[in-house]
Amino acid sequence: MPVLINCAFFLHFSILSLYAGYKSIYDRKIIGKKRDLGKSRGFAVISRNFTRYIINKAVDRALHEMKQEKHVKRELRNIVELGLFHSKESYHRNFFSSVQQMLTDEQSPYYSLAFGAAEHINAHMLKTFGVNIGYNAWTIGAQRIREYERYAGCSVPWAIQFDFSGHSANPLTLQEISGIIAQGRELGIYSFFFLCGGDSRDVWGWIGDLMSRFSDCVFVLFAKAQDIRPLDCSVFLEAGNGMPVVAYAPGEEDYQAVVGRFRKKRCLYSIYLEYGQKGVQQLLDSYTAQAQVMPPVTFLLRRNPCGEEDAAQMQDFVEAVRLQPQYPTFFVDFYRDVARVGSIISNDSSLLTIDGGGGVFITPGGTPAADIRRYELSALLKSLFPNPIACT
Amino acid sequence: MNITKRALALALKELLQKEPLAKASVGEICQRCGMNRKSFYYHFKDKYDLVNWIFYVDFVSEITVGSYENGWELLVALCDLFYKDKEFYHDALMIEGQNSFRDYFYETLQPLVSFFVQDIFHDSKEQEFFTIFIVEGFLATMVRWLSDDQDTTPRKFLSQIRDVIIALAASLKDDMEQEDE
Repeated sequence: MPVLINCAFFLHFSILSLYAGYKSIYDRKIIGKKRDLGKSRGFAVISRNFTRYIINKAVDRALHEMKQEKHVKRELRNIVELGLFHSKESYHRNFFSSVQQMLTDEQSPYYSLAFGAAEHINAHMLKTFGVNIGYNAWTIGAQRIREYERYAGCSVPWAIQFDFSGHSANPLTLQEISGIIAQGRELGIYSFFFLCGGDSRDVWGWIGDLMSRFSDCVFVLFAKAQDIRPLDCSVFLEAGNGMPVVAYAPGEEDYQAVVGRFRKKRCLYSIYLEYGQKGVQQLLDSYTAQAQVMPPVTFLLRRNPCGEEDAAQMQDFVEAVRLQPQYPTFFVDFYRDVARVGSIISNDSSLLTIDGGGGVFITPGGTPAADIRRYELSALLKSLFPNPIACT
Repeated sequence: MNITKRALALALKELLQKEPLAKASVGEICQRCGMNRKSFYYHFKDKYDLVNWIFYVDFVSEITVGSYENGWELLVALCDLFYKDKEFYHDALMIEGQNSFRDYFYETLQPLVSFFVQDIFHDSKEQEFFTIFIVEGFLATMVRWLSDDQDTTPRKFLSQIRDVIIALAASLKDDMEQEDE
């Protein structure tokens, strides 16, 4: 009986909805035009986004469950399995399989990392950032990059780094940065890193606009604590697709204040350590021993000149700690890992660097190879990273 | 996908041929596939979590949303999926409440329906109202169809709905034109 009543209501309200619908159409005077019921303009849009929608829903549910510690392990395993289930590329499958393997250890610190993230970080940020980089950048973006490379006969980086740490006489404007990002997206680039410093005064005012305009991308900003403004938390929280990364400086008040604010507001954040200027072991020992709270990800930024011995020592540390995790944080040797991801997605290029004045660098720290203001991004890539093999 | 989860899924489907989902217990599911309860809870929160997982895997494995020309063809594919396991999905849809498959399926269907509704209504409150009623109505009709002894095929079921909507709309349009005259 309840089913019959529901059916009656369905027909009743279908009639009402059709009446209202046709009345509004009549009022707009487009009666007479044939409409194919079911062929909606929106269908093309939804079909493109539906997979992401159901993944989002599944991640939402898992994150909700993970707030209870007793469910964390199961839900984390399920999220990883979800990633494996949706992986079409072998590198994706390898990554998720490796993580699955690590999680067979019930005592793995990654469970603490996951529970801490679910408990202390805004779920919208966790999900948006994670899906944007895992699905948009490394799946959809990677596919588009490969397609474009075959078509254009050049290599395409999977990420663009805006190095605003220096000072430029004529810094890039918001419109110019936005244009570069839009061009990058067209080619399959969804990841944008900002090194903040001298030229980045305005970036903190713009970043909310950029994150909103390009809501399917990820934005990672590396900055010292004193350069991060109090309002920036809400900007990141609202957008969900950006992450501030603060220079580790435990002895400084600014650092304590900024990190404390991020944690209080449940903002996804990270910290970075620079290596190359002083001993790697000393740096790591200091961090692992003294850090009271470790964020989910800790970035390690190589600063030149960095001796080969230091670089090798850092590489050994990162590989060892990933195989046998000891800390509730995931270490990312930034430039090395960006290159690694790049080599999987594409052939040669992994990161394109653009400085505050628009200078384009093939490798960070060299002399600019071109001026981004003078060329379309696609033309620049064909010129700087020709790759006839990619065209086959 | 995970072999253990598949085994639990098969066990649940077999069990539901003998008793309704409401009565099936985790213990019975495990017994059927030779596992212990700890193995079950290693993977799933409860039996409803298992039901939702079955649908998720079936749906994602068999339906590529972008490969259909329009929403009706997608609905046919969805109904085909349900039709193949009609006892299972009928049982699953009968349960209401938190974590129920009905809620889970509702959330899956809602964005599809809302896109049709957006084409007709521009007021966002009207969109929300009619989305809810169309989804709820469709769910109710679907439950009835899945328990139908006449074994109506998915395509016929949906074309019946479509024919009714078109006929009623045409009739209403005639009425409105007469009123305006």
